[in-house]
Amino acid sequence: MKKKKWFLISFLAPAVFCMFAIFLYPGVRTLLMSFFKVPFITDNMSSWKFVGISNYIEIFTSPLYRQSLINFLKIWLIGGIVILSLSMLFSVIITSGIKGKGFWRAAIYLPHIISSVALVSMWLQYVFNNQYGMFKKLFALLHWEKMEQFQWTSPDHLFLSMMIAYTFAGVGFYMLILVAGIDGISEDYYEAARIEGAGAWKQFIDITVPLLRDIIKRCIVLYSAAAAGFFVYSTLFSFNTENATVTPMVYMYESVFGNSAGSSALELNVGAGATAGVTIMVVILFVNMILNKLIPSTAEE
Amino acid sequence: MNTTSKKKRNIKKQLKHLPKYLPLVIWVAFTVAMIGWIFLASLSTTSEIYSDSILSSGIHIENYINVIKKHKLGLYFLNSLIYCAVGCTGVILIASPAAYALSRVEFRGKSLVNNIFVMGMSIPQVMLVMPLFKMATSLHLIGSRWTLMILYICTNVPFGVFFLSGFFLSLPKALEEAAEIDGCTHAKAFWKIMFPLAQPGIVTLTIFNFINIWNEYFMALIFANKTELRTVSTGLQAIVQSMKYSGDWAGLFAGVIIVFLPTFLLYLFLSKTIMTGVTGGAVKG
Repeated sequence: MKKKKWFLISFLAPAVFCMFAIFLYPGVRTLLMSFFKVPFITDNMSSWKFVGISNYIEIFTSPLYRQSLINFLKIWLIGGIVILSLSMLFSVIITSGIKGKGFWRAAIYLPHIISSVALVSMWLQYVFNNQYGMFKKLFALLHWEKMEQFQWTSPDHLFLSMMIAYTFAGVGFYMLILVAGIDGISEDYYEAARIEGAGAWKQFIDITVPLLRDIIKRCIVLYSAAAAGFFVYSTLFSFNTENATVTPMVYMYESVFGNSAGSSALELNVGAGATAGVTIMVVILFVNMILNKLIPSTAEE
Repeated sequence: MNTTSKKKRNIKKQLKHLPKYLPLVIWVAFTVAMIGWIFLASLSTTSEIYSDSILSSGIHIENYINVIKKHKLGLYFLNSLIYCAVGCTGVILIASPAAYALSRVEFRGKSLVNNIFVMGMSIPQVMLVMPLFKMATSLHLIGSRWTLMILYICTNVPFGVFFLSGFFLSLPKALEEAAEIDGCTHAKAFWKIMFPLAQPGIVTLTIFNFINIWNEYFMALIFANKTELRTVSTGLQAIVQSMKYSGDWAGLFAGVIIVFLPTFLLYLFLSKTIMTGVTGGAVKG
């Protein structure tokens, strides 16, 4: 018995220690920090000043934070609908018995394994470029004057450009999950539906969607977490002169570590950064709660 | 007669599928055109890129040499390799024993330990970085490679435990029982028998972690705040920023290709493994 105890401790202790040191303790500390005024990130707990909810009031009255929330909502709702619909379309096509299923699946997933920095550089320095860019050449070829002159990287259009690039990278991931889900549906259902004369659309609505309910929900949960933690694309698509693409995560970064250009509009306040972090986490929990209410898992019925 | 009509029907069937290929072809053609052009541009000169005549003066390998040496991408590449090697090994060494204990051994408090891992996975990174930065400062780890190595190991442990638990559960129990009858201890049975058996799962997890760590940006931005410690992600971003002022677009594209290649080559040979890893992790979770 003693032997078993030692075995368990030696096998579990490193992983459990790492959970406490890297996840649970920092998580609780950030939660606490959101109620204190903390001027510098390296300050000890003893020099924190309790300020109640004034950090929360501060960030919700800050125009930059409000802008970041609006951007988050746009990314979550509009981006979510576009990305998940496209992935659904691709996954249905790929599982419909076309030739080269494996190839298409692998090719569409490809952008997801490329470093975001490399991928964004491809978009910004080539596709969106206003002199030799791919879009410019393409629309010139189609004689579509208006689109040819479109300034993809001007401050007004940066958000749109960012979302196009993000969609391109993200679709493959959700497509992969949905394809695995559709592959798990028995062919018998479709066979029966075809015999009764149901068309492709009816099969999709009456068989694919209801049977994929858990997996669709999973995709929405994963996308919501990704939208709440939206950071890399936002920083890479902002040129430090405008805040068109700011998100809550960027707000947190800038109020804790300052702007990389050193010209931050924000006064450094680590407490406010922690507060922004807490709001991101609350948003994720809230979305998950609503989803569980709206779409109960099939296992629970 | 019969075969020709069958063929005809087959062709007809494929013709019906034709419109379905359209979105796929557009999407993939765009991907190929984009990456292909970047690759060709990385071998040309900047003036050729602007005058729309890439490759007209032959192949310019010096773009690559330039970006590796002068812009230190070689150093960042080496850093990322070190972070990936240490990170992937560390995750396996910490996560696989824990996953084994959780999936194969009955003990009191098991569900509590399980819950700790689930809770850890659901805390977003944004909640962690501030206290972690403070901890790294107190331990005098800021400014050394150790910070990112430790962080990359620890942040990937929960997913590793979760992924490998599922894998251990699928292995037959008979072997370790036989080992125990032979007088093997639990620990020995694990390292000698179960660990080698779990190889496919461990390989999948390692490839998955390699790609994650190679592409990681947020942690690297915060914790690798010295030039010598930068990863390919933050290093490439610094190169992009400086190239924009120096106007060396060909060099910039060479940098993009260098950062893109390792994960791309892995994917080219192991796309099936990588994709099963992704779906296995995402669907079960």
